[in-house]
Amino acid sequence: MSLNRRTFLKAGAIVAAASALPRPLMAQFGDAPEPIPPIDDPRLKDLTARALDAARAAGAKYTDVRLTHTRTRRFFPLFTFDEESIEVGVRSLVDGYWGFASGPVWSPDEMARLGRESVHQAKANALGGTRVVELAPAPVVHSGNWTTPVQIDPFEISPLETQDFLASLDIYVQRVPGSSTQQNQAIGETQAKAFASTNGSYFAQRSYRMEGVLAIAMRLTKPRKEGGLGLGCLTPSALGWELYSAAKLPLVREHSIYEEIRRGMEETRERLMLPVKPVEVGRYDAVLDARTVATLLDVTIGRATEIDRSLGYEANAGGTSYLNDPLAMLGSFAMGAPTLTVTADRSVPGACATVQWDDEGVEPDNFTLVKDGILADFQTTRESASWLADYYGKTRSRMHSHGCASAPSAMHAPLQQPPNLTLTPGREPLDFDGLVKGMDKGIAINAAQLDMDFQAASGLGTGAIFEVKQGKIVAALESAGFLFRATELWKALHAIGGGVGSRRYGMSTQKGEPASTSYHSVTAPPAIVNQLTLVDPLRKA
Amino acid sequence: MSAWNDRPRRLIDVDRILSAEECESIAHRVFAFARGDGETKIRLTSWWNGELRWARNRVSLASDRRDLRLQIWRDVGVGRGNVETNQLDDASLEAAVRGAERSARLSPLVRRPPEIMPPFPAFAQPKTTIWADATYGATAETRGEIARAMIAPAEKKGLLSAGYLEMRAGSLVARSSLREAGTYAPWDVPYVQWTQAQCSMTVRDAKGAGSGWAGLSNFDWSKIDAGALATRALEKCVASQNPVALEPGRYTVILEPQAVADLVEIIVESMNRDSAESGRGPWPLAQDEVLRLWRTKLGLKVIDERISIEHDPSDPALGILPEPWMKPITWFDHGVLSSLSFDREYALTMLNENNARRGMIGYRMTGGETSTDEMIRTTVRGLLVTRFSNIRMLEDRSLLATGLTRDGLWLIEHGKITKAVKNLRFTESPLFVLNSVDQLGVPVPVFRPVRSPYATELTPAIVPPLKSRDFSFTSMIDAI
Amino acid sequence: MTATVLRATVSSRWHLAAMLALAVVAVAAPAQTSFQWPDTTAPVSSYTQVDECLAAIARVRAAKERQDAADWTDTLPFDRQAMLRPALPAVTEIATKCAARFTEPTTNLADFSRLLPLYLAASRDSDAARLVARRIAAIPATNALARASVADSAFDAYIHARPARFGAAEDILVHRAHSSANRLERMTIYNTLMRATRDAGDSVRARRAARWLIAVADSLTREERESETFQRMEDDAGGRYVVYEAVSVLAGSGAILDSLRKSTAALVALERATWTNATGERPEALPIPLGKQAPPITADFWFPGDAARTPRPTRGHVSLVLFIDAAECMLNGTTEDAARGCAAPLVNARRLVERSPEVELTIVAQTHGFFMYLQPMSPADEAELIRQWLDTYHIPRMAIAVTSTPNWRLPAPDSRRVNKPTANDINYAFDKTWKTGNQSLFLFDQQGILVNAWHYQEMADYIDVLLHRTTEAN
Repeated sequence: MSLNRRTFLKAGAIVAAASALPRPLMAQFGDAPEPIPPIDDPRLKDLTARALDAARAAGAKYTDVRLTHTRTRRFFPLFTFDEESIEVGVRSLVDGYWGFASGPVWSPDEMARLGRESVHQAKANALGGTRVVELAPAPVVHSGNWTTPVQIDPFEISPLETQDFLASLDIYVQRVPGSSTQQNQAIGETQAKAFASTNGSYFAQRSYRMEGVLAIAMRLTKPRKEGGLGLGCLTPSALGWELYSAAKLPLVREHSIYEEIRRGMEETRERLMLPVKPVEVGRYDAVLDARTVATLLDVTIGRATEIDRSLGYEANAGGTSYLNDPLAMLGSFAMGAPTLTVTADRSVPGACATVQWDDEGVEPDNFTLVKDGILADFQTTRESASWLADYYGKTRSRMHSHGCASAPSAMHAPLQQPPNLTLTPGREPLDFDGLVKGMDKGIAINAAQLDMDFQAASGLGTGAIFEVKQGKIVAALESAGFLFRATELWKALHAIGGGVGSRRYGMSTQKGEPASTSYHSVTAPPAIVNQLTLVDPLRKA
Repeated sequence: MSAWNDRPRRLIDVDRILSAEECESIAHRVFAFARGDGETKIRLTSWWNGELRWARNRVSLASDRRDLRLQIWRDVGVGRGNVETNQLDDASLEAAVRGAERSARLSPLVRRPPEIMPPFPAFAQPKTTIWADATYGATAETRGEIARAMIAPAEKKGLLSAGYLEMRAGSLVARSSLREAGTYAPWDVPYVQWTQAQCSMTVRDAKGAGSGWAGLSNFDWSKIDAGALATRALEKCVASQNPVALEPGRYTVILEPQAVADLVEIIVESMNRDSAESGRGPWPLAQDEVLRLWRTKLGLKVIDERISIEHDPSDPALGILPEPWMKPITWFDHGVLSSLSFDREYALTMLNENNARRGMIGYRMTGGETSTDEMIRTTVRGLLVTRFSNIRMLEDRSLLATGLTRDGLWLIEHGKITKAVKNLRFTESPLFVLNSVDQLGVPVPVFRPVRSPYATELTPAIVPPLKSRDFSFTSMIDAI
Repeated sequence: MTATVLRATVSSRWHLAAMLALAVVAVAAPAQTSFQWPDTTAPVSSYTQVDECLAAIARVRAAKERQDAADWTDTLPFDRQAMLRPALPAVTEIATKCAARFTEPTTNLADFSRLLPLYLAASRDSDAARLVARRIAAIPATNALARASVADSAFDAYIHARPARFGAAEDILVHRAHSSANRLERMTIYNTLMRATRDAGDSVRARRAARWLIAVADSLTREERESETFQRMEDDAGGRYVVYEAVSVLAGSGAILDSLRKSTAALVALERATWTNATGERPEALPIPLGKQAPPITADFWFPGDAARTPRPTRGHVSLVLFIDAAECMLNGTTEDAARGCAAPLVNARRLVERSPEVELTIVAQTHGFFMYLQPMSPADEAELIRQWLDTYHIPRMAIAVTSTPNWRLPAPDSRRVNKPTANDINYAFDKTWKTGNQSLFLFDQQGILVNAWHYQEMADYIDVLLHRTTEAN
């Protein structure tokens, strides 16, 4: 094993991973099984072709197939666990109906079976009323190849080194007497995927994702106070081990992780020393930290602009959207203040939804969801883009999928999932402290936890809420929460922090039936909203 | 046989899930690959799902999916390591065993087999199974027919329906190399297989001015009347159109069984001795300084005396996944807290019993005879709730929680439903609700499907409707 | 001396290392093929954070301890020199490599608490001294409290380094002594130094520390003597006990053995006089049941069946009585985390008995209504299983006394079992003056008088004296 920690993987090239596990996982190409090759091996293309052929022969109008090889590594200070699996899934379209079949075996026979089964599933429903599916065009991808650019492949680094690093975080935390870590672990996932469709597209794509948890408990003695904190720089990211080891990560942390811990513990100590006041219900101007803004953005605008949700495709699960008439609302609905602009992408390096091609073979584009406060677009896939055909026609823009199709592995059919979101920062270089300084009277909210309703229209927030007086945080508010309506909140946007205060957080979404999980990142600056309703969430009627 | 084992294992031309014989063979192959002494253990689950989802009155996706998960533990020296994979051919198994051994060598814990291993108690085979051919045998065509039958009435009325049908089967076994097939330590899992089905439907009007829902889950598809569910969802949608705003406050509520189950879900998490005897959660009573332990509310009446919550693992109508040595459990006996869950070690040391007691994973709640109509008739002013959604617990000592009503909320005035009402947010504790009960109805099965294909605990519930006083609604929401 | 049962918790490595240190001695493991030890070539030279270096050192130490635990270390006696043994080469290597990037005087003083142990692990003692001096100098002399705090952490690092740096620890104490710090704190520090040096066999330093301790103790005010800190010293044994130990150290272990050689009464008189000397109290106030008569051991089940033909401990024999609670020694319910929590006292007892065939050993055990994963279990069946379990330790001429533990149950549905003390628990508490529990060990002379119940490591010496005395003095 090389002692060189840095394994640079250039975008566009796939490097076969040196085996960390004794080699497992077999595929069958001909008569005998053999160890699965790197994802860009041409024999995998032949396998996918079997599935496409079988589906076509059975009557499919369109078919796509995904092969995935997924490795997960769980990092702890004292040990490391590995999981590994392979999956294959085939999706077919017959007379406007989709069918899907998946399983864990890579072999020619299985490809054919899944191809036939996906058509069988579709046909069993094509007996119903007509269903029209218009797929937005997707350029053919000819033998594409892409890898998430990471600095340190978490599967190539010695488990002893990662254990030492995580253990050192425990040791570092203990520098402060009375402090200890309650939870300290990380997860890394890499997935190699091969995609083929009856359009003629074929590509191999390899993604990385890392996330971690570091929860610290602090016990002060003079005075006797207990509190804790969780490190916010470890949310999911499309990064390698550098999530932990890098000296700094743009938009994630400005310092080393040790320095982040030190600052976080110092801030927690200061906050614990604050006097505690009961909450006085009422309306207050509120400084929201970047994490709160990101979360608010995600669960309101992020959810509401999922076109499938808007049109009732999630009605039996997560719910619908307050943007319930997309065609009428596009271009005119006031989502928020004129200073609000929200963009979407699947291209920002380090953000979780970033890919070269989505799970339908579409190269995602950057697009604007909210422009100067007005609803500008929705998140779309090839099928759902066509639901907005009239709008695209009216605005004379090309009808195309924004590339939001995503499946956690080939075991699941692709589903429309959120892309990365960004709230455009303001011009003034104001960070959270800067916004607080400028507030004469109000509240400040850190790391809010939000409970939304099933239309993403309104919600209850709880979190660390403080009283602000004359530019300073002066007290902690005990058991405080806030109620808000999505559109009211964004319309009450008073000030948006500058880029210097923007931070990126990885979020996970569970959607669909059966439930399907995806990851995306939200980047937002801190902000001030006016007249937020403060409540005591524990008070009964 | 070896040629068969060479190939990537095919789940197709045999059953969709692994049989007991197949699992036993896999176990032996894994054990055979082990190097060195030391125990080898496996936990092998396999699952198959047949799914159908629809929205806007048309099926959006129908699927057949299957997978498996094999976890392998190896003891090497004083360490234990494990890996997880989903491949069953020889090469993959051997490599996985090597991986587990490597992980064992890095294990930080010192663990060794005990000095003696007295023979295990005789294995008590559970008498019931929760396998239904009706579920396993349902084809894609069957699901398609069912969906079309459910959609048609809603479509005819110009409404939009969305829904989900799922039939699934699974198997599980946990075996150790230290024991021959047929001999089980209490923590092994003898091979078990099960089925589970769920059916749910939401009907909304095109403008989103009303929404109705109905759903049910059961291991036996034949016990689910899809037509009845579709009718109910449709009726609720129609009746919930154009709801009006209502001042939040304290109301008498009539909770349909689903709503009751949604609230009781909050209690489920709290039902363990470990928390209670550490002073956490709703069940500690006081610290006993002399005995140096926490006294709990076990034995005290904590909810209405008409309510008992229990399960009998051999009750086929309930459908709990059977485990050896499981006994019937009563958690609440006529209002008295009677049982909290505990693990095997606690059972042996603290209670001199030989088995763990599980928490309220699947349960049956007693009720009464009062029909929902009768409850409405006898209400001067109150609200009828279909179900709750987006629930979060706020405080674990009182189980105070917040959440939203969904898919139908109606105002009752002078014994009649008078209007559909906009959804409300509640801030209330299920313990308070179960202590303020006026009337109880006949218990029925409710919708409580398992979330993950790898979950091995099925969670059926049989719950009555009830009327309760002074239920706290704290704000109004616009979402329908 | 309570049983340390290892549980599978994901806890800080420091805690784990401490726990592992206790579980070393084992019985023979079944024959195994050998296996490679983990790769210790993580790229420590490129670690930039001191805490990472300490993590790597702890990992390598723990790996070595696991290796020891796996080996058949049945014959190793308690190693008095453990603290002074040279560091493991693997540890020094890791520490040296990792510490290479840190040089005095350019390091960041904020890393002091982590750099110091790293320097010591890398055998860079002069750098360690330089760092300590720099750290203290960075605090204004007027802030005596802060300086004392730094001196305390330096002292800790020196004592816990391997090998322990007693000389440097002493030097720091001199620094410390000049500050007008808390007298009780100083007493605690002197006690730590005294115990560590005494256990390591460094009697010169131990006596010096004992002298300092006694001097501080003599200067305590009444308030300080009655304070909670004083009462809770040395794991609740109390400050008086600490002073008594210091006086014993000054006298030297030779003096105690000499008095025992004369007679048991002489030993008792010496220990009581030491107590008076240390605390000013009456000799009879010695909180150790020294000189008391051995209570007869009672049991519901004896193994072998005729072991109690005459009451035990048997007159005319040097007797060891060892309390072992099988249920506490094993994790119950599953074998998932089974660990030999009581191997150490059992192997120790076996060693003492093998060494001196004239010594009689009785193991006192009790039933709990289950055994490992088995329940229901009658007291007779449980006793039999306890016997089978103890048999695996191959202790010659062992007799086992098993009592069915009296108990009651909280009312249903709580039904928790509450144990009551057995007759042996009560009797061997010697009128509630002694805390008996799992792994308690008692040594009685041929007249059945208690001579030792607390100096586990010195039992062999005491036994030699008693037997030799028997041969000569009859």
